[in-house]
Amino acid sequence: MEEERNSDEKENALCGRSLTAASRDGGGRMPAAPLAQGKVERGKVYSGDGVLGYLEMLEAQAHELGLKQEEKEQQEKKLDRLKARVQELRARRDELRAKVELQEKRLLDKEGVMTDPAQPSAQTVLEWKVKSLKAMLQVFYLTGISGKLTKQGVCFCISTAYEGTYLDSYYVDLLIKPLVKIQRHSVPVFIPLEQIAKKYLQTDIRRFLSVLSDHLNAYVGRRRQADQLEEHFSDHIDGTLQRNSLCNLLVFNYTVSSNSKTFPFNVRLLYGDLCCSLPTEAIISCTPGTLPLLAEMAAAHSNAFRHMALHKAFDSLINAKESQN
Amino acid sequence: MDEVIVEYIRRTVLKIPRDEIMAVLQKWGFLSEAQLQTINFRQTKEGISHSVAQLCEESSADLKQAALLDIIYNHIYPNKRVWSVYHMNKTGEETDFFDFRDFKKKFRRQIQSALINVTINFREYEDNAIWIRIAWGTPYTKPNQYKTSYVVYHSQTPYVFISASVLRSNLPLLCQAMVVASNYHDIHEMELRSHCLNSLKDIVFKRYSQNFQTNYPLQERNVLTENVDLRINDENRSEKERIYRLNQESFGNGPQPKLDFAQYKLETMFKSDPKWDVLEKKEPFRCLVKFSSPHLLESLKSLAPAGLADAPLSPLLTCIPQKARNYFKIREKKSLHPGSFVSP
Amino acid sequence: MAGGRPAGSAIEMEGAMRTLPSSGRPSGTGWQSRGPLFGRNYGLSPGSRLLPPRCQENADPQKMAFLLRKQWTLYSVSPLYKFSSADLKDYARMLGVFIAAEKQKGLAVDVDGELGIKVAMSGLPELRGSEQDPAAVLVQLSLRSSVSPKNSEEKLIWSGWFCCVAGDDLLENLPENFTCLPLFLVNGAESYTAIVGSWFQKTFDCCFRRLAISPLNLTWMAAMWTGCKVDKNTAATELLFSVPHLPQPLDISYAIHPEDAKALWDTVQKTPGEITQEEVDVFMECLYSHFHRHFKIHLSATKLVKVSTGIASAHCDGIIKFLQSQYLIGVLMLLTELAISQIQ
Repeated sequence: MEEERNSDEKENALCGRSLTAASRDGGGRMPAAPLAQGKVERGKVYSGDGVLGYLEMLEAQAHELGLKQEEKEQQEKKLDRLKARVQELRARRDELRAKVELQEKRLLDKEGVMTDPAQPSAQTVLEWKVKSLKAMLQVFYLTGISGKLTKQGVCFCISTAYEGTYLDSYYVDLLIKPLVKIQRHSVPVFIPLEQIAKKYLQTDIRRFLSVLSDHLNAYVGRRRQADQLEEHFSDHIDGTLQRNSLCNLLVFNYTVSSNSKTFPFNVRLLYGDLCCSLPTEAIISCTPGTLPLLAEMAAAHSNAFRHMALHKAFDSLINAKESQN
Repeated sequence: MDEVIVEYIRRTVLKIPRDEIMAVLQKWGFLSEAQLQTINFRQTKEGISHSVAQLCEESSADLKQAALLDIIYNHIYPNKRVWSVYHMNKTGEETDFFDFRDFKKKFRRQIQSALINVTINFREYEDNAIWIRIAWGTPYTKPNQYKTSYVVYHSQTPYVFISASVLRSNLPLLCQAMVVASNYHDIHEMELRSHCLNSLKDIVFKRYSQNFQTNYPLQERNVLTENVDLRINDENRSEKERIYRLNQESFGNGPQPKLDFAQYKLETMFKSDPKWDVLEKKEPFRCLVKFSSPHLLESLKSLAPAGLADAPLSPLLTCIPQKARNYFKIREKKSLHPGSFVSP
Repeated sequence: MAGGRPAGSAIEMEGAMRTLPSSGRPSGTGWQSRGPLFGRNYGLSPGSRLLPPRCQENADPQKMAFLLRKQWTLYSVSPLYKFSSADLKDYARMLGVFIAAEKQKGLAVDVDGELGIKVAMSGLPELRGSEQDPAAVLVQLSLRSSVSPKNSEEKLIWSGWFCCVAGDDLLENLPENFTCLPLFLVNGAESYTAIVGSWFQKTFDCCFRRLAISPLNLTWMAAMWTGCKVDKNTAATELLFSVPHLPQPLDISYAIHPEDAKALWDTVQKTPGEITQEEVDVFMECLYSHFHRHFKIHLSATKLVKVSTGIASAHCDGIIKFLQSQYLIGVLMLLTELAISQIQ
């Protein structure tokens, strides 16, 4: 590349230059050269023909000059193009150099700071990298599980969500060597972490994390439903909603009306599957003896509780009741 | 009997700081708002307590109400007692549907089958904490309302917080009732005690700041922007940063759980500089070291930055929240690494 | 007591420092460089003390039992002018009148009964190191119950005693008419101490000052008392450190099993018949390095505030408790030395 440019600048090497250019450019101007040559030969042949011959020679010369001029213009255009390319490549070289430098610096001294303010390109590279990493992290976060390498292992973060709302995040810090072991964690104590670890931790970390994540998501889901019920429907509940830490047993009372009489319903929601935020059993009981009358309604309510989020199920039951009334 | 109850309520009121008596009585909810309005809160505490006692007598307060007031008082001021953490074990893996109603029934039955003269009261709080107050009697005497045990339990957890009564002989019975009522198998005392109940909870429930490494670094605080002394040279500066970093790794960013003390029984070999030419003994050098502070972990955290200790601080001290204990027995590790210790 | 003082008296408290001409060496710089040591260690290496003597033959330790297991606050007293141990009865009467007068002025504490306080003064000839030492003087204030003055039961409310054990240096250079009882120990309400002190000050032209114990002297006590032989199983050597300038105060108690502490001291203490500053330093260094090995905390950077052993316990604020009668004289000897060095 450099060599080419140097020869470019040598104005006297036009001929050689044109040849190379021509051969490069492909057949574009090839016919012109042999034609001119032929004419010169003819000029020599018809040298004795006087004026006409002279004119012919002049014409040939003019043509040649025109060609040369055209050629030169093209060369200048090409030169410009090449110069631009050089500029471009130089910038690219600087960029790469900066990257290399940055990499080296990182390797040598992790705490190193960019000291040369005259290299804004390196700054840009850095910013770009940070940006793309952040985007990656965001993607990981959305999946709910993310990890970071630590000195002796990995620290995983499990983020939970229910119905599109992000809820608590929990951490599990794993040691990798010699055996996979939980070093620290912030998982609530009533989540059966030890059992899950015993089953999967040594053999399948991915499985371990996904099962743990299921437990956590189901727990926050159950808790969220109970919270929502308390928050929005406390007027419709008699007394308070009773729950335990895992929220796998929820007990509450409400009143239903049938044939213009009201009956108290007692609901016990049992969540037999700890990885699930819907109850496996919804037992509805009422005053002894009245159940046969209300069996159908109770069955419908129980069915709703087992298939819908608690607050939604309750909402639909109330609305149905109200529209009935 | 009524007099005794009224007197008990009066003495409970006396324990409450003056400015907070009204709020506690409102929480109690036994006396109506109209009744509370008749109390002159500008008189002495003694006077207030008599006014409250009179109102309670008029409204014929019973033992249950008196016990409830005591629970409320202890719930608001848990730091007046010393709490000890117990750990329960389970054999099976079956899912437990903890039901507060069943728990109460089983607990009461278990204790009363052994001792009829007891007063047991429960109260459930919003954070799923169950507070149990037990006043103990003997087979021949009525329960002593002034010598109560308190139990705080969060359902479906293996941890129990007990503030034992001076009558310690009842402790095994209490523990037995706890195990039976919560479907566990056995129970033992952990070596973790403090006045600060909430910090004990933070420690065993892993709610304290553990400084997990995440991909979202918290805004890094620059140590050196605080108290910048321009005369401090760079060497000092980097040392300071190193100490800060190591301290951060051991203690994390957040506030530490509150403990009053930590105790170490050392039975390790005495190793001295040979230049002193002293004590070459094969037996361990027996010491008892006790650290006490209103806020132990915060003071320990500030030792290295103050230049009073090496950074990082000894794991014997930094492991307290992680190991969930503040009583240790340290013996020489029987291994290839001299100078390392192990605690059972 | 006006005007009785001879001109140029060596015991003016205002005079900052006085050297004793008899100490036989360039005293000023000499003893300053050796810290608290006072020039009474003839024949000893610089910066050393005699081993504490055990059980004086001429003293029956049982007689002194009432001095044990009580907290005594220490004062230093400049020599008493025209004090005579033969006149103790008169002094007691005069002091009684003085206290009654003070009471009338309303300066005294509220005492029940018109008869009020009975003053007793007696000599304690057992409490001295040698024949040269003046006999110790005990002052006791008792409360007479006003209900039945005839067969009144007296209740001891305050006691204080002046003593001098091996105060040789000061005694030798004492001008005529002066009695040297440089150590004053008090147990009881401070208001009585103030009254009794001001009467002695007025009557014998002397001056009282609280006697604090420096951390360096505490290390001496720790070493000396650890080395003492005790027949029965005795208490641990406990060092209490306080860590200054932390956001949260921290106290560290470091208790060493008495046998192990003595075993260490016995290998450190090599000079026959005496203890040197260097030995005390090595003893403490050893304990500090053992501590550092476990906790990474530099105890040398903290403040030693209290030393307790089976022999006695001493707090830096100048509070002492004697625990073994057979070493009472030995402990008093050291305290006398500290009191004298404060008077100087």
